[in-house]
Amino acid sequence: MILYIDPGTGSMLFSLGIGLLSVLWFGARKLYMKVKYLKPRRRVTDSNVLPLVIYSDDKRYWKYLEPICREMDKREIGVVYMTASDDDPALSNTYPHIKGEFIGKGNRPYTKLNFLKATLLLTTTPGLEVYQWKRSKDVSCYIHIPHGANAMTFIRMFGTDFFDVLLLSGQYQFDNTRKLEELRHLPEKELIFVGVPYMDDIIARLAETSQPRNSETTVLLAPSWGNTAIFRRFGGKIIDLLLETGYHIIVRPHPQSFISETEMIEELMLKYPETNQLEWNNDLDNFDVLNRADILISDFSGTVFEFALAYDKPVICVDVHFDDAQYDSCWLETGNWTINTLPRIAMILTENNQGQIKEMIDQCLTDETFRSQRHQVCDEAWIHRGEGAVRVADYLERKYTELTGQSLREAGQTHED
Amino acid sequence: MTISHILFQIFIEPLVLLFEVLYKISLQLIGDSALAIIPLSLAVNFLCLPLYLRADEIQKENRAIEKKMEPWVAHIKKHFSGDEQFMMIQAYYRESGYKTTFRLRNSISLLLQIPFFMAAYRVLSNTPYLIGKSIAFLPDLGSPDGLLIIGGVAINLLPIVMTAINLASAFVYTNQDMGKREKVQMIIIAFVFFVLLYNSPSGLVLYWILNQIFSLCKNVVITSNKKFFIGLTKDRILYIVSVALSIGGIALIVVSIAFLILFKSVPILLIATGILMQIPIAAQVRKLKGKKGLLENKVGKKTIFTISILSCITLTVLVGLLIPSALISNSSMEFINRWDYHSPFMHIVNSFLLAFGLFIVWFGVFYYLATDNGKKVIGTIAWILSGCAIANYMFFGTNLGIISSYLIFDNTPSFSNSEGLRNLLVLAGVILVFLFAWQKRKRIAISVQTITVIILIGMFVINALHVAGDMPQINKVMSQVSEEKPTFKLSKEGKNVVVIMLDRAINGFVPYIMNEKPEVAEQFSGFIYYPNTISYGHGTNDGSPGLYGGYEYTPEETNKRKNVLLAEKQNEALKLMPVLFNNAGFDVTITDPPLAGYSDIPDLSIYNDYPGIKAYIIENGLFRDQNQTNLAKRVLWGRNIFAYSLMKILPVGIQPWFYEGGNYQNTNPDGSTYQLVQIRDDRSHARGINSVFVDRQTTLDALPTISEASEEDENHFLMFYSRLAHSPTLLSEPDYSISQVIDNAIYDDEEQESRQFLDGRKVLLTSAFQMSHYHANMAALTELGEWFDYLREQGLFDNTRIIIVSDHGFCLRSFTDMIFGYRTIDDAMWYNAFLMVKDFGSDGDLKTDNTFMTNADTPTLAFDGLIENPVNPFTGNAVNNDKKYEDEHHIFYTDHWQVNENKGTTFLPGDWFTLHGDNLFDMSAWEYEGYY
Repeated sequence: MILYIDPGTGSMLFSLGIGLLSVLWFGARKLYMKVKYLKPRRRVTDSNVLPLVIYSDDKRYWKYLEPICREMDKREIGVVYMTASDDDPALSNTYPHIKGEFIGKGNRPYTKLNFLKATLLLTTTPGLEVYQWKRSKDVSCYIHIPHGANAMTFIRMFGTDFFDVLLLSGQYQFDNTRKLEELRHLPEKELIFVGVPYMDDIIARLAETSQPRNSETTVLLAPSWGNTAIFRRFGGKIIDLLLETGYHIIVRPHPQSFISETEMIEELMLKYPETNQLEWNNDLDNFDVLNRADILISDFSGTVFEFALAYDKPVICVDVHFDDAQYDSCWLETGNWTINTLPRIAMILTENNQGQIKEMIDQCLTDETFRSQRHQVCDEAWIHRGEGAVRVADYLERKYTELTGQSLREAGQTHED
Repeated sequence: MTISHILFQIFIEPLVLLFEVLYKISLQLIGDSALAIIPLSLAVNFLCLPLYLRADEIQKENRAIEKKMEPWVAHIKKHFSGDEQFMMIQAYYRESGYKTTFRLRNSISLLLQIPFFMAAYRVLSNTPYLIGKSIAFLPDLGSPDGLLIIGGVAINLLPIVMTAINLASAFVYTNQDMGKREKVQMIIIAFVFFVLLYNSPSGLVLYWILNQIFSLCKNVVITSNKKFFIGLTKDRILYIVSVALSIGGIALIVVSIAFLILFKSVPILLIATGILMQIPIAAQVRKLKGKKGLLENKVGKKTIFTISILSCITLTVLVGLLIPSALISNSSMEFINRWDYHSPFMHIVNSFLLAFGLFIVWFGVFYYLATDNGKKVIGTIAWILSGCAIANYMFFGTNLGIISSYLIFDNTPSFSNSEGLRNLLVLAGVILVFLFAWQKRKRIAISVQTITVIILIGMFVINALHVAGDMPQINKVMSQVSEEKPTFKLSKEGKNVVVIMLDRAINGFVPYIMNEKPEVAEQFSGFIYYPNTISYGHGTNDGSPGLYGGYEYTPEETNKRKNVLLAEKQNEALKLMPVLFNNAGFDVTITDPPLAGYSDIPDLSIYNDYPGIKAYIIENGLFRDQNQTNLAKRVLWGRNIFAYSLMKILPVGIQPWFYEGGNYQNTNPDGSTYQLVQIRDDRSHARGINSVFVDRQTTLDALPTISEASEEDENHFLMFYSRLAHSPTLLSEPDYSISQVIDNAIYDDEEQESRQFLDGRKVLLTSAFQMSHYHANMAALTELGEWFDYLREQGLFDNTRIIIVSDHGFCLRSFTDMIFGYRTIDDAMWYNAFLMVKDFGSDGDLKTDNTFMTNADTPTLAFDGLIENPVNPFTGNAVNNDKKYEDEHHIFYTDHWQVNENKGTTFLPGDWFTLHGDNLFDMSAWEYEGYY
């Protein structure tokens, strides 16, 4: 049982190997560097990488995103519009450069989005990296644009923290975002002021549409839905009170009420059938009804700000105890901008003053203070009016070039080919 | 290989090795196996101190983050529910830089204790060093203390003391901002250890108590920022301890130098300890100066990590793959156990797991837990270690000679002072160059390290392919393994011819053995002893073909047949006598034909064409219970191949210390080298059992039980092979019995000893090497003598011709009158073959015949009078001994004695000698011809 060890030959082999491989290694590296700098550097312009994707988790956001799509189409920039609604109007849009794509319901969109290859992704959906929706390592830039001028204040906690870019419409959004970043030790996001494209659309439509000549004052009751909303708190009594004013009343329940509160709505519709004075409205497009109304009675629906700022008409808001514990705003000492701002653009209806609703309506319609406050708030929350879509499109083009060194127009077209 | 074995090899075994080494160092420093536990505990604790400090720090950091996050976590828990609550908390954790896995980090201290505990348990619970050892009031550190006796029931006191200290430690913690859950956890752990250790040997419990005391002191020091001890602050105490250690270390070095001057030997351990004791003061000085250290320039974390991990991979590949594979590929066959088969690759896997555990996992743990500066230090250490390891392995200690598969060198590695110095200079150079590269040329360092890893892996692959190439042969041999015991049939009426080949039997010892043991000489009556016998080769590959096949197979003649492979010629030689006897109607039995099929384990299929020839392998422990040796081999190979690799990367100055006579710092009796190998301190003292010797001796011992006398008139030929004389072992004198501990000092005392002198000629038996060969030869001849007695009793002796012959001698330098040059190979003993012959009917006292003989005479002697004009069936040439009468005899020596290496058609070049005339004892007749 003996054997003999001679690592001497091993050391020779080792020395020889080191020598040979060193020559090869450094030679190969030199060659690699040469090749690397021979060709201009190409960035994320893989043919599998989509230049621009817009994602919408529901069909109802088409109206917010359509102005941007329209602008992109006008610039002949290809966009893939991914939606989680199979009946999203985007799927049947007529813009030649906007390609709608249904990516499934429930959790299915996330399987697609989490492995998406795209340079830019624009969305109104918050919650990236908070819920099932994770950042794809193959998406260079995640861009969030809020639904409306005050939408950011109703984003659930951490909802925009993992985006790269926020497209804003007011200074308060900028300040709040920076404050949250500071509190949470997050890197600063790119914050770009663009305005509110869909409210620009309303303005444009208003300009094209003749103003209705109402023979009588028209009051629109457009409540939100859920436990804190008007119908749950006041029941049919609010309709009774409104009918007592003698004004023309339009009741427009929240679309979600027809799904989640069917029984309650059906009961109300039975109890208060349509008459000359009362009409029920559930148009898909709320433009006409908002246009017809002289005043809006609502709670916290986004429509309040839309009506006040875009239609420039008065609002009465139901006093709802709002708990912002689930929202980013609960982190801020300044509180929730919407809640703070509401009294400036609306009168507040409570259990105590509900009897004076007619007086309140009349005061709203006649008191000029509300108008001037509306305009102030509008300046705070909605800058670059009329330029939203253009500014978004400009930014997207700029950002794409910054990331890839290429033009989004060319890339978008190439991709369409 | 089970998962638990893999995990044990990776996580625990490297620590076991560390414990063993530290314990052995402590033992050598203190000289008392019980007290050595104290420095062991101190060393382990100081080594782990950075780990534990960092673990505590991390725990503190974690607690701080958790505390900071608490309000918002509570908020989220209150206002969200279900999945959303979970997802919100996850998002918040993420934003706060906190991971759920951080909770585990709170338990790092505890997690770290588990492997360290397991390692301590493995080393200290069953070590022979503590069994029966008493200290102070503890009677036996190898068993539970049983100090308290209440109502006749012995209660172990130490575990209770240990638990008390544990709880005290928990109390110290309670002063901190520790959560209630953690306090409860600590108390539970204290009780878990109580249960675990209650019945453990008191030595282990003592060790654990020392650990707890250390931990308690550490906690007291860390938690207090005040002047808590005679008005001294923590920093002040650290400073004082550092200074004390430094002074102690300097004292050690001074003592070492005095030792060096007085005794001319280098107490490396003392010097190394003295130097290590300077580290704390160096750290203090650096802290005071507030200067940036050599390692503290700005380096990217990623670069540091890359170099560190590459260096650790280099060490892993070198120690875990390359060195073991180089060792095993030399002779894969030697690394299999026929009674407990595992592929030789298993040993490489085992070593790899250990290396992975040591260099990647444990280095990784230290690295992971280190601060950024600590990471730099660890990275630098790994980087420099890898360079030194390669330099040590590749360029030093490359000629340590023959090593057995149990990792025992034939000659204990020793290095001259100049080689040690050269090694240190080279290492100093490597360290400087590597430090420079670390500081200034990191990119190159990364490239060099990557290349090194590739090269090392490439070299490993070459070795692995070599081993893989041996696998068919191993599988073939393993398929032939049989537990069938042969029967040696010998006839009372016909003729029996027995050729016994005693590998490496020493011719010159015979008269001394017979003189010392007249009863053996009596057993050998009828034999003629031929002292003037040569072998034409020096080993089995060049010496045995002539022995078996006659003069056609001497190295010189073998080389002339250039169109036939050496393996084929070996097979021919091994078949020559059996085939001719078989053809002549003899019943033929063969055992262990050496190098049959050019395999270390004989390939018996070379006899497949001859149904009349029965061949067996019996010298592998067939006659012995293998259970204990199987376990020992498994444990030993699992550990010592790695330990050997580790030794090879050490500076040569400490390699002999680490080698520890072949024990490699082992303390585990299960896998003890001493169960398999005898480690000889000097010619009179040794420890352990040479397992191979026992295998071989039990085989010779079994001869009477497997021999069978036949009344029929038939002829038998038995070709028997034994390597007992090739198994140098010290036996217990004067009866030469096997013993675990050998102390022959009294018998070996030269003044009292007459056995070394015979007719005015002295046999030198002064070294362990010489003496162990003498003993092995004694054992072989004694065993054969017993068998001859048996043959006599059975009435078989007279009609049996017995030829005892060896393939070569050995360079023992036991006879000064047989040395004809200054080199090791210029020793006529090496080429002096053993030859004793007893012919049919021969009787009377053992005679000595100085006629010139060679071991190539064997066939002629065997055929004499039985087979007329024998002809080699493979070449057609006559088998005779005409060449013996020529004037010149060409004798061959080669370093390439391994048949997996020297396997062409002719022998690889070697040294050639000519013996002029017919007297090997005439030193002037020897002439060196050259190397070709």
